Amino acid sequence: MNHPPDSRDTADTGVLSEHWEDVLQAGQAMAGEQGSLEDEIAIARLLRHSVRPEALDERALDSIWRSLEPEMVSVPWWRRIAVVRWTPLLAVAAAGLLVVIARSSTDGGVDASEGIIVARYPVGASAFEAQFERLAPRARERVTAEVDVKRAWLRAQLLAQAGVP
Amino acid sequence: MLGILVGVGLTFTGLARAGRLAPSRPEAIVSLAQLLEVEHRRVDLLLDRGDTQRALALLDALRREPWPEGDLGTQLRHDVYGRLLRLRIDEYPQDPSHWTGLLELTEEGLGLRSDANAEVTSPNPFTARLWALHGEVLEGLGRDDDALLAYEKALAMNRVLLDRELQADP
Repeated sequence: MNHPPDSRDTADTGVLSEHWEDVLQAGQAMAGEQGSLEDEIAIARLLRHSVRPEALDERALDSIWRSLEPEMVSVPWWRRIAVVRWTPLLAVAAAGLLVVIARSSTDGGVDASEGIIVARYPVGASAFEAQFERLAPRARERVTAEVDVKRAWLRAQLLAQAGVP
Repeated sequence: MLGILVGVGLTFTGLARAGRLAPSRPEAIVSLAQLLEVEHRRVDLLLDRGDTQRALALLDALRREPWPEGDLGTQLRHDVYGRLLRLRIDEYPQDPSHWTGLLELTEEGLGLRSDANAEVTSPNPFTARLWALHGEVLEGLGRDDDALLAYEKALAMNRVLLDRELQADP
């Protein structure tokens, strides 16, 4: 992909900056390219949220509490504290779903408008599994490449031992 | 002088335990990788047929294989443990009695049972997933604080990996 001039030179156009999406779209327009940028934008939002978590608005917070309410009715107070402590972590983990969902659908149940991430999906374990599904293929490629290097080295050693030039 | 020697010794011991100085055994890694490639496909086939029990037995047998030391060997091992644990957790999600057995498995996979500290590996999704599964098991046992720590480790590793992906595909 072609980058617009100076898109990486100034601090306010870094990938974590809120201007990043505008720069990306401008760059696409300059290059005359077309198509969805949802994948790139979703990853940028995820990283931005990981580095500097954004606060949930009242409506989103209410929505999360409503979804937690049935689980907490008979839960002792110390368990409730644990849930409160976990909410930011789980929200960040759930943000990982954005990457996966944005690839397959624009109507996947996650609303990331206005920079506020509202998780409507179950969070926790499923979010980590989604992250794994996203990251594993490239890791497997790396492992295969490393094994191939070792295999080639072994073959060379065996040939050398056999006296084959 | 003695202090210097002890310091050097500890440094080398630490590096060796981290897999940095592990004796290079490419033949072990190559043969293991070939074995795993075949066995993972067998597991895929069994799962496609709905034969979860045999898939679990196969993964459990793989778990008992001798595993080479080093970063690559650890990643391959964590991949097997992750798959085995995911299947076992999903198999009996409502049965609380199996969480204790699963905890032994996650601790074994992460090297928590043999050492005071977990194995040191470079960030990779297989280890991150295993930490997340460890958190899931701890959560199942009601150990919320320990579960939180495990989730944080998984998340920290995934952050690094996502950052790398972005740098690789700007």
